[in-house]
Amino acid sequence: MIETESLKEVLLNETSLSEKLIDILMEKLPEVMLDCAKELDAVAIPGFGTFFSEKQDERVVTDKTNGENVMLPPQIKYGFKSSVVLRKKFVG
Amino acid sequence: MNKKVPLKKFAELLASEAECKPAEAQTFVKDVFQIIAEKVYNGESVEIHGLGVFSASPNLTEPVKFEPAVEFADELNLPFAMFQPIVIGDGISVEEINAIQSNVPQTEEVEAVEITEPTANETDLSETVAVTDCEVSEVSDVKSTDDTDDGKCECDPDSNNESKSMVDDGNSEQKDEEPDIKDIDEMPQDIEIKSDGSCEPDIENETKDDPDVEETASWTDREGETEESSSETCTYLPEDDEEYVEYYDAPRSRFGMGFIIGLLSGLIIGALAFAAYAIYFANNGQKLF
Repeated sequence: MIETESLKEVLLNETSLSEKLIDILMEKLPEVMLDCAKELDAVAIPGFGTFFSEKQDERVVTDKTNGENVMLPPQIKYGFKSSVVLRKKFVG
Repeated sequence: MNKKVPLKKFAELLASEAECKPAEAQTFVKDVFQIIAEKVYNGESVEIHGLGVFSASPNLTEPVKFEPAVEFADELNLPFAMFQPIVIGDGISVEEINAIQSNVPQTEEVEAVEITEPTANETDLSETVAVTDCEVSEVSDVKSTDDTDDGKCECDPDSNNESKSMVDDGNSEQKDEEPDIKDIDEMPQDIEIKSDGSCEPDIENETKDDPDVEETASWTDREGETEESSSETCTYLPEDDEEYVEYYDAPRSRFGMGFIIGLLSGLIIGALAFAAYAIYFANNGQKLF
């Protein structure tokens, strides 16, 4: 698995951005995405995909192991949908 | 809300947070996700601290799998953090819960209909609401005698207060006090058992013939009987009559008296002023008007 530090090194080698700026941007990237997700906005990255957040209301589910009905609280799910370009790249 | 943020706009947001140029932020975002795509394509997983993990997926329709980080998901669901999953009882099915949720407005409508259009049994209910203070106390006494099957007295002073407040507030409180009214509504049926069946014909005649005329008589009959039966088993709790007298009678009389006193004092002051005005001009030898 490539960690964040390794990704920073790759970015430093392949882009013209400074190390300090990369550090700041890498730190701020999840925060900005979180702000967009809290607003239930989708972030579209061309050639990669779309990050989206979806609110699920409270619901009743049945536990198949013991048959109990459990009411789950509402939640916001965060997901990612690949773009067509990325899918074509993987399919070949 | 529910809009799509394009790369340019996202880069501007990121640049404002990082205090850099939007072009640099846009380049950064493009390069980061391009590198991630290449790494995932090579079968590696990439983790961005605070965001999540990107990994390859065998599913060709969704070749890149994204798992948001725990802290990211927790922060996102912070508004719902106080909620916990609740295990529902065994006797309740999902269909019943849905039926209850869908029937909530309907039950409210039914309650409204019951109040506006009472049936034969609910005519008694509306009558019990309209009875006087003494009669309400009798109702609680009857209830207490009904509960005394074991010979013990279970008079509850709170029941008196509840019935009293129900009568005091009138129809506006009728809906809120409905459980108590239902308890009172059950009372005549209990009277049939406890008071030698003498009250049963009165109740039926009230509802069928003319409730306005006969209800008072039947209730007064019931008062005597229930007082006799209840006095043996429990003590009578007197009610305070002050509340009913103060609210309705006192403000009117005070207003009327104040109005008359004010009017008289105004006339007197006016007459005195006119007299002073007339005397002043008479002493100076001028014409009054």
